[in-house]
Amino acid sequence: MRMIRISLRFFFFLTAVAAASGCAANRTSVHQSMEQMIFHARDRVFPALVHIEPILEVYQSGQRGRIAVTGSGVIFSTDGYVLTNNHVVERAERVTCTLSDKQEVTAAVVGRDPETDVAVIQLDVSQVRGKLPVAELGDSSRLQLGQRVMAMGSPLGLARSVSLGIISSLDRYLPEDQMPAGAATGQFNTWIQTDAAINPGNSGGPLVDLGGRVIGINSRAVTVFGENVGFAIPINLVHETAEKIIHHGSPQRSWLGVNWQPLKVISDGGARGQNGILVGGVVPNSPAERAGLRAGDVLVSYDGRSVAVRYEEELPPFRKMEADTPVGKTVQLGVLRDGSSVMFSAVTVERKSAEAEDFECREWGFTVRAINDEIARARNLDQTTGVIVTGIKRGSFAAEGELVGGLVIDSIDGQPIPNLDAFRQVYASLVGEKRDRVLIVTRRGSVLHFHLLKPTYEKSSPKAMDHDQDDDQEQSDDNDGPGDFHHDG
Amino acid sequence: MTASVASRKCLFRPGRVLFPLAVSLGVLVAASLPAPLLASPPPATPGYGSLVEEGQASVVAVRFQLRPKERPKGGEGQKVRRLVCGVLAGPPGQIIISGDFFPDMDDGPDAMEPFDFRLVMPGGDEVPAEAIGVDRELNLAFLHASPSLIRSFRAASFDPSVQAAVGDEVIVVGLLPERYNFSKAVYPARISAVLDQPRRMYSLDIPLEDLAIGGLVLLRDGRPLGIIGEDLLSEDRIQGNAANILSLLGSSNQGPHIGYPFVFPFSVFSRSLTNPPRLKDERRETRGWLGITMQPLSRDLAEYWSISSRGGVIVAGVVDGSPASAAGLSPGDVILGVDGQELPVRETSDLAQMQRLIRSAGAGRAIPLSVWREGAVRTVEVRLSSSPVTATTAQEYEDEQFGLKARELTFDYLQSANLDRSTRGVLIIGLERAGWAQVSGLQTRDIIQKVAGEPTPDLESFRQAMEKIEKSRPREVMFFILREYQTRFVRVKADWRGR
Repeated sequence: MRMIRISLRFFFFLTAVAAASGCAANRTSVHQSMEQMIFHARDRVFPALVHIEPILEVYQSGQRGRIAVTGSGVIFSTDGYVLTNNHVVERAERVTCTLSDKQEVTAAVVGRDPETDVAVIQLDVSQVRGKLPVAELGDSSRLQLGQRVMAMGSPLGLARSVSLGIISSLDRYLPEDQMPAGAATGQFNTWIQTDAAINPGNSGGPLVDLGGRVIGINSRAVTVFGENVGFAIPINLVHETAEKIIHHGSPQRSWLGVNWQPLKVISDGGARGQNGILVGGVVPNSPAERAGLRAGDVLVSYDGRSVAVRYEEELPPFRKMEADTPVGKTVQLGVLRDGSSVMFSAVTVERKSAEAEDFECREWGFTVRAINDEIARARNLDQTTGVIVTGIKRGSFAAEGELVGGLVIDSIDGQPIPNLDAFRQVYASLVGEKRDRVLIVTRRGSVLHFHLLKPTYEKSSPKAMDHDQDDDQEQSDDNDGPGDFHHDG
Repeated sequence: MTASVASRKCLFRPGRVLFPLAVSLGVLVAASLPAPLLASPPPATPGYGSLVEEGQASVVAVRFQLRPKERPKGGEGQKVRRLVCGVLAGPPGQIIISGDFFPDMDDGPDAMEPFDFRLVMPGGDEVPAEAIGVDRELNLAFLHASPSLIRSFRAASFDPSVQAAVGDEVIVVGLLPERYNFSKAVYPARISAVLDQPRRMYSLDIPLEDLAIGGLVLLRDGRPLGIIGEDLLSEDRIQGNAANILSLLGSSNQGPHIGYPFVFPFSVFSRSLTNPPRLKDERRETRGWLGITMQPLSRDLAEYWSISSRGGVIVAGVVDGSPASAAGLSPGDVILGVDGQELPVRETSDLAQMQRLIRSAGAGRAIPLSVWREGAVRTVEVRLSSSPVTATTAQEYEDEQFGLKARELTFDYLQSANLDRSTRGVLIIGLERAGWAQVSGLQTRDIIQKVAGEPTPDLESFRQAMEKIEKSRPREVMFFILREYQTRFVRVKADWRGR
């Protein structure tokens, strides 16, 4: 740490001298020194770089399939733990890693956190020859705008690549509604934006400072209308999340159920000149609603600590404070309402993941997903019952029965479908008896739709071939995110 | 009479298809023909002569203009001139034309509506006419002109007992285009099909020119059979095959809808003829409303439930507080008949029949429905109410300063957006590009529930709140909105300089 700071000072000093004197010899020494630092940093992290090739299970166009993807990762403990992105190993059936010395090692997924896009996998160290190289993790709270960084990973699958750039921004806030659907990450962090080249395949790879410490995990990039705009998750959040994943299996966060908004300057309506956090809305049946909070309240203290958010990039640290509260704790919420101070007590509950299980009805040609609290809330489903149709296979019995993605299945042949397990059972029994007329009743709000499927069953159903997954994403309602931000990976 | 029949033999060669024939010419030729031809044996396909004269006297060219239903600010809106063929029929001074050009009240404000109707007299003079009614089901409109001004025309004398069968020869009387002075033209044709659904109609074996649509159809003996009407095609039928229909039949696509030309026999519109549905009665308050969401009873579903009807309407949803809800209808019921009439509804496009039946039954009327529920059919009496405001008929408010257009919330929108019926507010349906509202992040489909702290449960309160703001001219205004089932505040910056 000390050494790098000295060398950095040296670097800046030399730059100044070079600028003043315009001396060619000095410029050369700047470059030499710069190059030495890059080499130094490279040597500290590059050996721990991992090229990851998972086989992912995907549910697309009404069928279950597999795709092979590539991503990146970095070894951060001698136990073989590797940091990477959730979206690299989400639904991975198996994970093969190639270390920087080209050894191939299999790995197991230890845990994932879709909300931060962090995942931990563990290499099967018994397969590793020699000592396992480990990268040192830095401190992302001490980064500076303009600081030089290197991105390492497998852009476009090109393993063991290094690119160089600077930190372009440290408080980049990417609002949820600008992220692709299902990838609403960044709740708890602002992003490190860098102009070091980051491409699909860099996902999960380390962003490294010139001291050779990992200061972020590269996660996303603007790939449509941009160049040199990549984003990394700050390593402090990654590390903390990874530790929780390793020790508890999940990140274990608290939730109150408030749509927090920055309290910008308001020149009309009662909140002139105040500090605090605006309650934009309260989720029904949430701790906040039970406590009595309502839209328009201004939160001024959280569990005894004053809080204020004036700009949206200040929201993630507050959300993290809320999330880090122990689950089940009673917190005091100091609120300004109509000009007077009110105190509310709320008991936090565990923040739940939006991830839900998928299921393929191969014989009928569609896929469904379980409905959990998060999905029910996001779609205003009045109860957490039924299953959601996620995709229809082209030309299938389901397509002929006019089943479409997004509908909620209420009953099948008169049997109610309270959840995915019930659905599976009913499906299995009807397929078992080769039922050739199946009435599926779907629901949207209070309106039903009646679909008659007329399946026929072959003696042995052929194994589904993996078709080109890219060109027929029909009727899936899960691919409707905006196009500006794309997963790499 | 026989002379003119013989004369037609010369002009109309048997087997020759479709030669538009100017009537005046035909008459001239007939007069100059020598008598001895009278003695010749009856021809295989004789001419028409005076058989068609009476019919020709009831066919008239009708001019009118179209303009936007809702005229744009600062102008009348674009006007379009149109021309159709009409037939005098029914009470003196009454003319029937296609109802295609008359927008339904469900059509949005962009729809064009007809006005300035004029009948073209022989010689070119024009006589004003007035639209009095539209039969939506038959897609026929009824005009009225002063009988004293149109003495040179004669109403067609229809007889409801006149029928035709497949293969029968008929004569279509239409008009030639304007540059030929709307001369009357007759087209021999044969009935190629007899349809009974959704009502009796005949199709012809010939393509029809634009100005034959709306024309008169005579039997071979000169008795009027009906008129060339256009059966409205619902949108899902139009998609994909409109081009074929148009090119095959030479029909027009002039109005807001696309129609398929058929002979409408007098028997199907005789009631309308003497008592046409009046345009001014076409108000929301008088239309019947049941309050259900419908799904057609397909053959597959009928078979699954063992329902042996010719079709039906599945009750997919029931609106709270509606007549359907009061009568105890519930989702999954199947309506097989309305007011003693069968419902041959099999496809989505057939659902309009049910809609028409309910609407035309009228608000306040109690009608029996034949309802299938879990294997048993029973009769349910419902007292129809008037149709509530829907998304297409709802009031709108445009705020030009903020650059946003809002509409009151309607039950059908709430249902389609899967929102609770109790949701209050106004719906953003339009945003001016780079206007204050759009720049500040408001989006279409946001539901505005408060403006600067003032609740805006409906359009009137929203209008008042916005007018208040335009007086106080604040630099920013907090909008409290519902977006994707979640509330939030949106701060809208206002720049009043130069306004």
